[in-house]
Amino acid sequence: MSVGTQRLLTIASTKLYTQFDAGELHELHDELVIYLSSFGLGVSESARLALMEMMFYVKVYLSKDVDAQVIYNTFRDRFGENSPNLYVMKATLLQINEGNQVAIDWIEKLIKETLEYDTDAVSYLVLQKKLVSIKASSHDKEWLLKQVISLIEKFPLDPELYWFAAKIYTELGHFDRAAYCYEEVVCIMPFNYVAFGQLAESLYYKALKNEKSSTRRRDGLQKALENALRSVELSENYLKSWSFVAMISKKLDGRDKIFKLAHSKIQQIANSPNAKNKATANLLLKNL
Amino acid sequence: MGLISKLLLIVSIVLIGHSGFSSYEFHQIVKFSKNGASESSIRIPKDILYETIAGLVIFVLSSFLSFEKLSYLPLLGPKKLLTQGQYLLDIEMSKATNVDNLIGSDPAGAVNFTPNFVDIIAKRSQVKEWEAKKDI
Repeated sequence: MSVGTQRLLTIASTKLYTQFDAGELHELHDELVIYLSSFGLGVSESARLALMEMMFYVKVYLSKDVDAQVIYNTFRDRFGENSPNLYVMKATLLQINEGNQVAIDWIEKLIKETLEYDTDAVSYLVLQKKLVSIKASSHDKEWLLKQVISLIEKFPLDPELYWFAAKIYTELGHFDRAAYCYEEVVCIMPFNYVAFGQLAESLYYKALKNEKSSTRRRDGLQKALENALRSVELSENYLKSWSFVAMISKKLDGRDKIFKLAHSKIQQIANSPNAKNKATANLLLKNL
Repeated sequence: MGLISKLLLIVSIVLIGHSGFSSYEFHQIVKFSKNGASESSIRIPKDILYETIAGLVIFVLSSFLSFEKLSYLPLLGPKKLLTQGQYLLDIEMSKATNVDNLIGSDPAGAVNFTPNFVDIIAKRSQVKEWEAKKDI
């Protein structure tokens, strides 16, 4: 498999395209159009479908609604309408073509009439998430949290719900609750080193902002340090966690060796070929 | 596959092919010779044997030399080929994830980016704003 194909498949499988800005989305769109019309036949069927699904969402983000409808029709004609991904695609098309309310009514009707009694837990969950994402713009964060927590009660093993709750808690400044949510994520995904890094970050801010006594603050920082170290134990070049290891060990007494190690690791990352990591590492080294 | 490995592969194929043909010719001569020796008691000449062994060794060498260093494209930014100078992927997780850090990937992105909660309308308006600014 060529490096270009590998890159596109990684973007599709990690859903990185959902984080792209407008310029990057346009670039990705052009690449996908060329790839799927020329080289795309060389990849496996499942890989091609994954790329087509990504293409659907990129077209939606870029307001190329007719093309998105064509991709949805291709999927529907081949697989039928009754699958989690196709439900979400249809809800998305309803949302962009006929408005939020039509999409909300369709999802609520489907849940009420079928999915509430069906054994298809995946469709139920993804449509509930879609419903929350559509309604979120017209409600505040407290409402959003209530919805996510009620979904967590129904699906206590879904890491995405905990992650989303943690994000909202962080935005609201409830670092202790955010840390609890990230702890749940690492319980479900024990090798998710990014989650360990996020947990360390939440514990770090919790210790600095919430803890008044120096003993409790030190204990909090120590806990944050342990989680950051767990993260780099799983991924030895993960810059974010090394930066927290360095910052926390600098604040704690008797952690000089760990600080030196973190400093040398950040220096090593600053020499890596990844331009973004290089720039961030250099900035960190200046401020440490 | 590099030039040297291709050349070695051609040489090895020629050697193995030639030794096979020589062996065939030798057996034909033995079959039609009238010196009374049975075919099973006659051993293949050493030069054919050495040629076969040399051909096999060169074939293995060409296979090893055909391995290329693993390279990757970064997921974001300029598309410059990145490599760690390795021929095989690491097995140990702490080292295997170095590739993800190198290309800027989060292997648990399907969870960590919360893709099911993306506000599509907001995303579309961001894109439209960007396009409008670009047109100006």
